[in-house]
Amino acid sequence: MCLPYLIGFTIFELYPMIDALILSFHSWSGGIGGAAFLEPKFVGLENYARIITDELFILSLKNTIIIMITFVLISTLISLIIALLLDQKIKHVDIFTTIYFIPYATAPVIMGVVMRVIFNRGGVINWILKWMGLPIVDWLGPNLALFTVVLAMVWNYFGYCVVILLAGLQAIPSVLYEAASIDGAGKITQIRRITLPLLKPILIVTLFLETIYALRAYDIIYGMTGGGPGFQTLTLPYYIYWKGFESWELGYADAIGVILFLIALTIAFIQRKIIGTTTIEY
Amino acid sequence: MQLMKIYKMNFSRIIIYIILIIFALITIFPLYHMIIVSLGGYGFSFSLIPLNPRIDEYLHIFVATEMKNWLINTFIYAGSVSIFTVFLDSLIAYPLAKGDFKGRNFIFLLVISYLMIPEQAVIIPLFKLMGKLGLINNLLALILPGIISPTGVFLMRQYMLNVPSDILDSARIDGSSEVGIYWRIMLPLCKPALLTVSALKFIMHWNMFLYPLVILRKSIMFTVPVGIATISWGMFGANWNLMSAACIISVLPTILVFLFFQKQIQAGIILRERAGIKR
Repeated sequence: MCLPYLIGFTIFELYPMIDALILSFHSWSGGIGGAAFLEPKFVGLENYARIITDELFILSLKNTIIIMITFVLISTLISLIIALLLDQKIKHVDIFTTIYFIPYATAPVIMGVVMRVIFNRGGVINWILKWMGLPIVDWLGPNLALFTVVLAMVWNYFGYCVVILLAGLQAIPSVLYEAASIDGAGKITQIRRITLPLLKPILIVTLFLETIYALRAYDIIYGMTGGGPGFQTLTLPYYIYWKGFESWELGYADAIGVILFLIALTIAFIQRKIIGTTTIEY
Repeated sequence: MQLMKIYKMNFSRIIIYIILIIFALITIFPLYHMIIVSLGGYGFSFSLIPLNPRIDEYLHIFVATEMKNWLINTFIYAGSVSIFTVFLDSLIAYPLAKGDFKGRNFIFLLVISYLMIPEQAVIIPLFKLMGKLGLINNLLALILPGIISPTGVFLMRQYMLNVPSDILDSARIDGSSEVGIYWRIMLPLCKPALLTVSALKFIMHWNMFLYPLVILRKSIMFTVPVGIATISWGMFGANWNLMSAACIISVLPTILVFLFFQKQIQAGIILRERAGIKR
């Protein structure tokens, strides 16, 4: 009974994974529009040697790391606060979570296009700023584009984190809070002494989800900035697409893909290590 | 003193509600903005309520672009993935949950480990594979890998673990084959899980972008997100009214599916993401 799936798994998942590694030692280029391909040619470690000195690779790695750090910080802060507020015996919690979760159902690339319209120089955000008598801001200009992309990503993903964090919060037995408030502990003390320590495992899971989400950020950037202006919002995944399917250096792009995979693997490994040492005890 | 306390309680409640509502408004705003702009002219100013709503842009987009084909393509792609995946995934999930054979855990971990791979890391070998199979510009190139779903296997297995083994045993005594048990007992029992996975996969694949972008190289074969993203950087990029109408058409089906199945979807996602801890 396992067989049908495992056949599909071998062809469409396992084989490409292995082939990704093999291809990264090859040079493979396509014709215009990918219409004609040359055979992949073995070049050893040449692709990897080229990566180290590729300035655009370094830039895209740098952008990816900047996005990761700012995104994880902002997203965690917002989703933790929202989840904590929702946990305060609020009425209609499910209406709020449904609304927060809606962005998850929308295509990131489409929301990127929408965000491009909203954050445009003549877009609605600047219109609001002008209405309030504030100076308009060039959100998608060279200085701010990367930050604006992070804002759009937070919009896209924070509801997902809220739902997961809230599930963690609701799993904490209310007896603990009752005991604490009999002992005279205030709300803030309760959050600091009970909620946060007990939430730690879920919080760590959320942190890693956000990290991986940021590492893979591509769709929303394509819709919003197309990697620009210049290369200001070029990320690693975007660079893979660009090298592979715009300039058709498929072997080289694949080697960058292997690097991306190694980064994801490292993150997953660290996650296992950290979670392995934290257990939930109520 | 007591009164003061009640007053303070209510005050902090109100603050909480205000914060929650502000964030709800921020979440809704881009979607609302999309609707407004798609219905009216985007002139020099923006109004919160459409003054002269008109649906010209929605008609225009079907004339000016290949939106009709894109919609059909995306429905075929996301629809067939969401239907076929539940059968294939549940077929392997059943022995992984209830079977007793060597290598069961190994197979499970192998299948699940694919969740970790960023799609961009395997996009080039997949493109090469589809080229070899002659499936470039073919929706099959999207559907076939789509139905191999680690998330589906995981959720289905998790659900099947809770099915009492007694029911299965009594069927075995009655002489049912394992495939018979799967088809007549397991599948009907797992209906909620099947629906959850179906809904999740529909949303996920309707919204899929990079892989279809790479595989579909003729504009008539595009999916909706690929088509809209492409025209947004081309001739219609500056026509915000038209772009907004197109975006509405793109996000509406998935939002409807989400609203319809939101309880199951949220529960499924919580289950999947918490899995890392419980093991």
